[in-house]
Parts: sequence; structure tokens; C-alpha cells
Amino acid sequence: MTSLPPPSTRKLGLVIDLDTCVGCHACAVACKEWNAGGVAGPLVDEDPYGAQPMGVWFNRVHSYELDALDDQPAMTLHFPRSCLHCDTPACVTVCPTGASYKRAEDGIVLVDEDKCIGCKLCSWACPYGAREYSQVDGVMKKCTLCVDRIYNEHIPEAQRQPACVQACPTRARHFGDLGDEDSAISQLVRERGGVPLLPELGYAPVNRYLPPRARRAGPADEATAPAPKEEAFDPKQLNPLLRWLDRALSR
Amino acid sequence: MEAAPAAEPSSAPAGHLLPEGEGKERFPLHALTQRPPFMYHAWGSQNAWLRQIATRNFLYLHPATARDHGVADGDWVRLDSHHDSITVPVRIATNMQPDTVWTWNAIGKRRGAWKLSPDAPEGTKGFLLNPLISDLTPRGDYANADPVTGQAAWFDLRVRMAKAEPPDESLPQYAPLAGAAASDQPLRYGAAFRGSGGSREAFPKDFQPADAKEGVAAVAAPTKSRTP
Repeated sequence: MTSLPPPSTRKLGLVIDLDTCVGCHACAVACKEWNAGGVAGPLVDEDPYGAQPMGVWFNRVHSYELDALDDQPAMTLHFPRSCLHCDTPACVTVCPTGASYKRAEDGIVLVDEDKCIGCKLCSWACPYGAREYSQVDGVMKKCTLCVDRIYNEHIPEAQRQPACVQACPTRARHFGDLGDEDSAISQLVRERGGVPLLPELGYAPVNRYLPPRARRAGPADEATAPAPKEEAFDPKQLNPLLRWLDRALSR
Repeated sequence: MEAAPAAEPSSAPAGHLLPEGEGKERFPLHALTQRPPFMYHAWGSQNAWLRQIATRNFLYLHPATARDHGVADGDWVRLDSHHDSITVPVRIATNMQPDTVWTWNAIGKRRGAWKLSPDAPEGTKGFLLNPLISDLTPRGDYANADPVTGQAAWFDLRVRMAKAEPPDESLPQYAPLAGAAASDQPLRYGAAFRGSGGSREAFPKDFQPADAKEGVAAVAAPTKSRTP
């Protein structure tokens, strides 16, 4: 079984905003694109054009329908799921070969594929479903937090972020050091009441999720209520240009 | 855009809508369709990755609408518009309006399209609302499109719904497109970058925080015994 490094002060991870995520899967697709061609590739796709296509993804988005509750209207919640880079990850300690390991210097959990024997114990141990087994290659894969981007001196500094963070069109994903209380994402977690997933299991996940803010329900009869009265509109009050425009568009 | 000749004189008053009495009463529900955001990542919409996100779609109904029509989750319904009908699978969802049904656009495919295999769910269970939407307005005098943008009138569709016996496949079905399906072998994009030995030697060592490049690697992977 594999031992963990001494606790690190640097805890790199993601903060994911469930309030602004729109479920577009851009993070998942950008992740797959980068990592298929990066050091963790290939991310194999089986039965790609058949009845049950199935591939390796380091990031998956689940969309849930939430029933109305008290004064909260029914809503849709999109939940992106990837490795949480736990402080005390069961997927590492369960590994019989040392293939699964946690880095002392920044807390990223990685798999050394040369040592992986494909026993899948780590995928059984991980309660978050973050492990992705490649049946074709016979090895376990997982989110690398884009370790080959964030320290990569061959790409511009502004791009040294995980591909999922870069791709998100609503800026619902944030990357940084959650071990540093003064970092921008630690502050964000404090401001928005960010939560860890299933902390009661004891694996001390590093990533945080920002809960969706309260939605307001419309009036109960919104769908059937009569349409609001049209605004009183007197074109004569307009200036001559707008009056002409109104005439032209009203024809 | 040029007005097409009317098919036959209509009794409807001015306007391009259905004749009086044939609108809301005959077709009480709005039907919406929307391209999934994950299909915008490639306008071609069906590649080997994106189709793993959704290979089929459902018609979503509010529970009250489902109850009114005697429809349960997983049932099939027949939708009729003024133009045509489709028979499709249903899912129930509270996060929508009772007077509206909706589905993802762009997932349903004619069999053989995109070189998908004949049993691909896009062709057997997927569907579009397109058959319900006419090219011309019901009176036949104008293109059924926004007069300014030319955008098809996707959001103007009204339908009625009835529970249907589950068919083997969503209806209508068209003759499959000719041509062989794509290879069913696994795709290994990126495999070429691994190099001949397939080694991951560079993986943990090259990418380190600047202040940790010296001396930490051995701690990072305590059981590491491989020689460089």
C-alpha cells in the first residue's frame, strides 16, 4: 500500500461555482482535448460510433432537476465532477504498487502509469467517482489538475491554468492554492460559503463548491395570469427622428 | 424574402396564423426545442466525444401536464401539430412550465447519418421537432420564419399530445442513408504522443512548482524506484 507524503502547505485545487454553471460541458470537452494530447493521453473512446459509446473523461457534468421546496422554485442544478485532490486520499493509500501518489509539493494526486497494474482498487476506494479506468490501455487515469499546463513554461503565463478553468464561459471554475488563506480562491470560498463534498468520509477533499444562491419564485399564477397591459405609448411625444422610425417600423 | 403563393384561400382573417378556433383549442401546448450547449462546441454536433454526453433525447413534460394526459415517466406520446405528427419518449420534469413541452434539438439523427452504426440511439430513439414545423405558415403565404432574421420559427410551434403505444423506434423513421458505418475500433487520440516506449518518465518530474524543483521529487513519490 502506498504512503502519503507529509502534509503540504500548498494545496492546489479547484473552486466550482454551482450558481453560475450552466451545464454546457465546455470544461469536460476542453479537459478531454488537452489531456488526450498531453502527458496523460490517450483518453480512449470505445464503441465511438455505436450504440453505447464510452470513453475516459477526467471531468463529467451531471445535471439535476430540483423540485420546488418551500419558497424555492423548481430549478436545474449542474454539477461538474472531477478529482478533488484530497488531503488524505483513500485512492492513494489503497494502491498496492505506488502508482497512485500524492505530490508533497502541491498536493496534486497523480497516477504513474508505468507502475499501474490496473487492479482498480483506487476506483473502488474513491467515493467521488473521480477515477477513470482505460479498459483498452489497462491502466487507471485521472484528473492531473493539468500539471502539464500549470507549470509549463512553454505556454504563456496567463494560460498556465487547468484547461477546464480556461474554457469555462461563465467563469464558474477557479484554480489556486487552497492551502493559502489569503489566496484569491480562498477568499472566494469564504465570501460565498464554499463547501467540501462529503467531508464526513474523512478524506479531506481540497476542492470546494460554491452553493447556488436562492432563486425567487414568481407569482403562483404566473403561467396563466393575463399579460400585463401594454404601456401607454404616444408617438407624438417622440422627437422627429424616432417618430419617423416608429412610422417606418409600424408599417 | 418572397411570399409563396397561398395553397388555397383561407377563411382566416388577416394574419398568417391558423384559422380562428384552430390555434389554442386544437393545439394547447407550446413545443420548444433548443440546441444543447454541449453541441455548440462543434457545430457538426455528432463527434465521438460529444455523443457520449447524450446519444438520445426525451420530450420533457411538467408533472401536471403529464397527469392531465395520463402519461407517466418513460411513456411514449404522439405529438401533433397543424403540419404532421411524431411519436417520442417522455421524461417528467418539474423545472419547466406546465403549458410547454421541450426537448433537445440536434441529437436525433436519420439512420446512417454521421456514419453512426444502425443501432445508434440517435437514429432509433432520438428525434427532432422538425417534422412538426412547416416551411410555410399554416396559411401558406409566407415562409415560417422570423421576417427580420430569417430564423426558422422554432418557438412558434403549438402541439397537442396523446399517450401512445411504445413503438420500437421513435417516429417518423426515414430510409437509412447509404454508406458504411464508421469503424467500431476504439479511438486513441493522443497515443502517438506517447513515444515508442510508452514511458511516462517525464510526467512527474518536469512539472513542479518553481521553488520545489530541487529535492522534493523523492518525497512526492515515496515508492518510486525506477531509474531514469
